[in-house]
Amino acid sequence: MYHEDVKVKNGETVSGIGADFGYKITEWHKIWDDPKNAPLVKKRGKPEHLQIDDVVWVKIPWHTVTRRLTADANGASFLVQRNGQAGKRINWVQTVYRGNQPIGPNSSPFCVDACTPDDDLPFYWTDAEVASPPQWVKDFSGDPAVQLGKTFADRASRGAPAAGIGTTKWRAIVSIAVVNEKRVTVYDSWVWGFDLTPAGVATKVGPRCPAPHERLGHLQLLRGGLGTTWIFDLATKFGFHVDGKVLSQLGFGFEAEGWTFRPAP
Amino acid sequence: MRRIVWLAASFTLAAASCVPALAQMAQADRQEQNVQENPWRNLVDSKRAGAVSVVLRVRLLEREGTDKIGWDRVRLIGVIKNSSHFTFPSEFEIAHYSGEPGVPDGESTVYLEPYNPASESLWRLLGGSGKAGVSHGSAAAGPT
Repeated sequence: MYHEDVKVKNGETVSGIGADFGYKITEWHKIWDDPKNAPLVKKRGKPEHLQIDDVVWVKIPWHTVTRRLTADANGASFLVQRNGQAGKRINWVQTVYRGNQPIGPNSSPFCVDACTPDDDLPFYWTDAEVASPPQWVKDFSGDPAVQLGKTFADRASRGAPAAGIGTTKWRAIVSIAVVNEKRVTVYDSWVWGFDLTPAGVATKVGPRCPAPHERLGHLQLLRGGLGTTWIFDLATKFGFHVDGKVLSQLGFGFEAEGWTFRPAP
Repeated sequence: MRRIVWLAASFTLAAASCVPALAQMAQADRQEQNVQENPWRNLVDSKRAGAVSVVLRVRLLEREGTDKIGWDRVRLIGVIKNSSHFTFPSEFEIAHYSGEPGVPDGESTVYLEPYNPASESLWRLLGGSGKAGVSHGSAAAGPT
């Protein structure tokens, strides 16, 4: 549990801010009555008197309640769900180490998933997917009305690696991501993945809490992650793809675009 | 001298602007040839074809695997419809959601939409799934 310091913008209300961060509309008083907001309450008197640039402290108490990792024939599937409401300022982030089998147009072994970016944001689900969840996630979660702000799902797999390259060790770290302007607070992280041998035997790994160095790597990958702009503008204009790792090393990435990533304070 | 530079620049611009036009003409010719000569020309679901800008006949070469997104490498057999500005190479990758089926074994007709708003060179199956994005599969030959 921690608090977000939310600067009020034109037209925003306490109940609306609360809804953005996973509260029910009717739970505005949980925010207004929070002792951290006592100075604001004393200054403004009523929620209706909130002014632009006031800072409202919003408690973030949500945590994962479902972590279902299953071994598949050639990989593993992971379903994670949190409590609270969906909230448009809460998403998920996942960073991946793809071992000896990076796939797709982005050939870097390390990436922010979607590894070949499907939008310009660092989050796992795109806005379009949040608005209209993929059918497979509805099926996988068993919830036809699944809300992606509360649900993470992935089904990672590979073909059996050639004997010469050895076992594929696919690892990911997934976290709840709370978005405040361009600051992303990452918490409740889980390591998961699978090993896949040249004989085609898959073994699931995790879920477990990340070690300190893994948390650090997770944040570093997010900072250096790439949106569509860098990779695909280059591809369109010059006709070739530039490896995401090279672009990150050249100083491109989400951090260069103004995004910051931090652990929960 | 200034005029020479200007002429050179104009020629360069003209040449550059001809590239997509020629590519489009070549693709249009290829599409016409496809429709006239190839037996798979009618292996199309017209309703799905109307929903996308690209319909191709392809053969699966390799399922590379999945992260959030899966990628299937295919060989282009023929162009049934292409109203995009992209000329498909002989081999390329098609995306689908990790939890959805991708391109099936053998030959099939694929219905493609842009992978993301910024890309003209990356494509995914309609709806991110082989359920909506594939028809008229012919798996007898299997992957090569």
